[in-house]
Formats: sequence, C-alpha cells, structure tokens
Amino acid sequence: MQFLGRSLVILAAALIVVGITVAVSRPGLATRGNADFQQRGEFVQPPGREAAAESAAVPGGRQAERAGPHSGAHGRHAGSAGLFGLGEVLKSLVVVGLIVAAVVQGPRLEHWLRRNRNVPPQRPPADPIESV
Amino acid sequence: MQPARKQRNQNKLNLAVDSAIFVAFLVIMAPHFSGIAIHEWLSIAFGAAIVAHLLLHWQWLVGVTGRFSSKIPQSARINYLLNALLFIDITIVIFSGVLISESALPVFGIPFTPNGIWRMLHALSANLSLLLVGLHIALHWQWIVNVASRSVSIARLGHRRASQFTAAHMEKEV
Repeated sequence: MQFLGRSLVILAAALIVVGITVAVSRPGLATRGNADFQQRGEFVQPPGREAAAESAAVPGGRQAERAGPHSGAHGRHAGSAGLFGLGEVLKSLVVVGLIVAAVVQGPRLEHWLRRNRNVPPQRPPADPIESV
Repeated sequence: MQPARKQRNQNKLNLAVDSAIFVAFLVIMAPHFSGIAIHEWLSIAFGAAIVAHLLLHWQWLVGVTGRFSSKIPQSARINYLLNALLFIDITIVIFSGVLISESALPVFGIPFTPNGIWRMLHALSANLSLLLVGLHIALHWQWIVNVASRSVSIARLGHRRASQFTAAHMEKEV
C-alpha cells in the first residue's frame, strides 16, 4: 500500500511534467518544428512512408508487425543493426565515461595544478664560466 | 538481521538495480543496435525501472525535499537539483518517444501521427539525458566504487572461507 502511494506520487510528478510539456508545445509550434526539421533534411520520410504510416493507423496496427529492427522514420533510428549499433552503445559509454572522469578527476587535477603552481621555479644551475 | 548487514544487502540491491538501469539506458540510446521495436518497449520498461529506482531511494528523496531550504550540504542540494532535472528530462524523453512511437503505440490502438516538434524534443532530451546520466553517475561514483569493491571483497572472503572449509573437511575425511 505504501509502495502504491509512493508510486502514485511519482506518476503524478511525471504527469505534471507531461502536462507542462504539452502546454508548452502548442500546435502552431509543432507545425513549425516539423517544417524546420524537414527543411534541415532531418527526419524526412520517403513519399511512401507517410502514406504507409497513415494507412497503418488502424487500431491493432499492422504497422507494429512491419516496424522491424530495420525500419523507423526517426531519422537517426533508421538504418541497420550491427557494428554501427554497437558503435552507438560504445559512443554513449565513452561520453558517460568522459563526464565521470572529468567530474571525479577534475578536483584532483585542479589540486595538482595548484600545488605545482605554488612551488617556486627551480633556479638553473650557475654557469660555471661566470661563477669562476 | 543485523542493521549493518541489512544496509549492505540494501546497497547491493541498489547497485544491481542501478547497473541494470544503466545497461538498459545504453541499449535504449542505441536504436540501431536494438532495433526500433526493442528500443520502444525497453524505453517503456525503463520508465517502470526509474519508478523502482526512486522507490528504493525514497527516504533520501523525502529527507532532502523536506530540508531543502534549511541547512543541508551543498553537494546534496546540487545532487537533488540534478536528479530533478534528470527526472524531468527522462519523463520528456519517454513521453515524446511514446508520441512518435511506430511499434508500441499501434499495439494499444493509438494511431501514429508524425510530428516534428515531438521528434525534435525526443532527440534533444535524449542527448541531454546522456549528459545528465553522466553527471548523475559521477556524483555517485564514490558510492559505486565503495559498494562494488566491498561486494567483491566479501565475495572473495566467502570463497576463501568456503575453500578453507572444504580443505579442512577433506583432511578430516582422509
């Protein structure tokens, strides 16, 4: 019961976020956004694709059957699985790793740099000719 | 059960759940790798996993929310704000993803209507989530290292004790 109540609180918070998002993305803005994206060449669907999407908008959707791993009108989702897909996973892992390394090692690096800056520069050894 | 042991088990559970969530996140972030259907269904399951993650950390959530305006460490405040941002971002990613869904939504009988703003929002919030998840992990890195190393050392100790016990038992038998 306690878990159910807490889950409902979390879902309510998510619902608030969704409500605000829907309110902010007005229909006019949505149309403009679509046009902008198509102008930039992103997410452009092939002519048959849109018609297929419309025809598949039937309850129970045959589109679900059609939407295999190789399909997708998401633009960046289009393409084939395989090495490139594995590359995407590695790319995300590297990005997260770099952020973690920067945040975790950042203060240590700063400390090291500060410590090195505070050390007075060593005097070069005296010129033996001049000292004579 | 002893409180220390209970806490250790709780930490282990948290680490296991968090690791699973992170692996799921990496797979979700690579739709080419998983395919669009798995991408969509896994994202919906990811939403449920996030709820589970929040439930596991409920005490911390309630504690910091109640004392946010009063004296709490600055790091906890930053952590809380980052987590709030991450929650908002993940909610937007999942919601916009559901709206542009090609595989999951038609199963529920909801038609697929292509819309530029939701696609744009989905892409932007997904990219932002990568940054926020990185920061989230970075802020908990010390905890992750501590729990993982403790689990490994306990497992090693258990293994050593078991092998010692087996050796002693075999000697007795001989």
